[in-house]
Amino acid sequence: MSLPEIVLWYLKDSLTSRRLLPAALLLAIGPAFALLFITFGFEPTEAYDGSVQLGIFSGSLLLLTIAHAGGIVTNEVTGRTISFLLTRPVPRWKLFLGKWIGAVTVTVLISLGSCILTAVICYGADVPANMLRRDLLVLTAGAITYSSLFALLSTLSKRPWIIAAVFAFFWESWVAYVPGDFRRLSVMTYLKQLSPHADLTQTESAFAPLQEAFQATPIDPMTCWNTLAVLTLVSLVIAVAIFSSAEFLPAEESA
Amino acid sequence: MIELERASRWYGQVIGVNDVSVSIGPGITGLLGENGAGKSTLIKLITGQLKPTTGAVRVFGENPFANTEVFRRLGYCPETDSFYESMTCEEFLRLMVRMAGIPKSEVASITERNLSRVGMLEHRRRKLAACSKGMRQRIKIAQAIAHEPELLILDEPMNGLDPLGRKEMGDLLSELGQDRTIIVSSHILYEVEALTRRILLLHRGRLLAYGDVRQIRDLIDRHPHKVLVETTDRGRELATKLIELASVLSVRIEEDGKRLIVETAKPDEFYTNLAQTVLAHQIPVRTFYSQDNNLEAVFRYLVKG
Repeated sequence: MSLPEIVLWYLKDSLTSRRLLPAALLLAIGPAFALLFITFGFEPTEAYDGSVQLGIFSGSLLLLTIAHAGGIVTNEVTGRTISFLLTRPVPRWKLFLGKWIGAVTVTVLISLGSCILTAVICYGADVPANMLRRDLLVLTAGAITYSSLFALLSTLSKRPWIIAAVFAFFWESWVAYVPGDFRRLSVMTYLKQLSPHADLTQTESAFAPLQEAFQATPIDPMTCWNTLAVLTLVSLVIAVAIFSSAEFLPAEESA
Repeated sequence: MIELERASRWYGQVIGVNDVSVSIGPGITGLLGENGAGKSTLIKLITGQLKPTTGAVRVFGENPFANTEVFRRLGYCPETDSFYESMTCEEFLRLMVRMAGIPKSEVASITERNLSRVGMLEHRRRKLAACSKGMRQRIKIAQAIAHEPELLILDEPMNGLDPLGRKEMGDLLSELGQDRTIIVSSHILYEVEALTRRILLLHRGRLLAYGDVRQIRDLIDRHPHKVLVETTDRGRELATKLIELASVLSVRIEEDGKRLIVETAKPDEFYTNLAQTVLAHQIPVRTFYSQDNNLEAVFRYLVKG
């Protein structure tokens, strides 16, 4: 079985009715924020910035990668279908990468669709093309990087979603407020650096005096791209190595 | 074909399989044991899903763990009743057939042939989620045999099948067992007995016995065979003659006076003596059979005796 066939199988599985409703809801998060901001009289730029930041980068992108990439191995183990896969003459790396590419594809399609809809709602026909192109590119990079990290988690933990959610919704937002260069330990920092948007919810942080005292050094775009690429590659290589050599059994069978 | 050399598998403090050495060749082998005896662990070691903690497992001369060359020649029917529920029977089987390395051009015909083989052709478009347990079991068997593997490992394959289904699957497995190696795990002894006389008996992770059920039974000479002999109305006379034989330990006459329960430690000698006795005294014998030559008895003796 070829890699594209495994990807197609994953995509086909994502089109089942059980998965379409959550996908539609996640697609709607960004546009819903946009409608809300417009209704409350925000300018198109403010509405777009806020919606993309809150609804897509910090919302649907993270939820999608947690759900899809985090389930690459875990869904098979908890669904107890893993034995069908691991006793077939298909190399484990191919199974893993096929499913990972499928997960990234679904995440990218929904995130990008959500971003385009958000832009249309905010700007109408006058969407700033360069800005939208940049956001789509950075969203794709974010989907790839987070998917690699969460796919790695799915090979390491029986409950990757919990760890991924803590990482995504606690660590990723909290570390941005830590003074100095700690923020470099957050993937979101690099995404925000590459795709800067005004944060409408930003208030005076408790860390503000410290942040002023320990000014963080700016991160240039090339460093951002390189960091995301290295993170992706390292996570994927480790994940494939683990999946190729470890045992995966449902909890009740391994106790 | 399958070699286990002092193979042990532990799950932390819990033992799955303990120091098992066995060599399994062509034909059907029944894998027997109570719940928790280590049957599924042994199967997972052979099917390359688990690595032995100590010792070695070899299938076709190779380590089976994550070994695609071994998997090409192996069919596996897991015990768990789990599927990709949103798929239809046909979609699932197509996927499994393709994953088994069958060329795309042959997938449709092989899928159809195997759906028919397990009696599921008319239900091909049914979602797996909507299938009965028996139907799901048939699909699991179909995905295991579809690529005509040389080695077939079936973990509780008769689970969920109705009597007719059990008969059909038994016939299918007997047919398949003529030219390949099959390991069938079950806790239902008579099902295994109907398929094969060669058993591998596990108890608390250890290999208790392996071989022909009758040969195993012969080894257990501290447990006498019980042979039921049914005659006409000359039961007492026959009992008197039989008790004189050196091969007979005891004879009990049933209430109807026609049936005798004979205990013997030397069954082969007793059967010869019985024939000579009934011929010499012209005592009619309707039937005789050993109650202890079946798997149930072997299992009982080995595990609990």
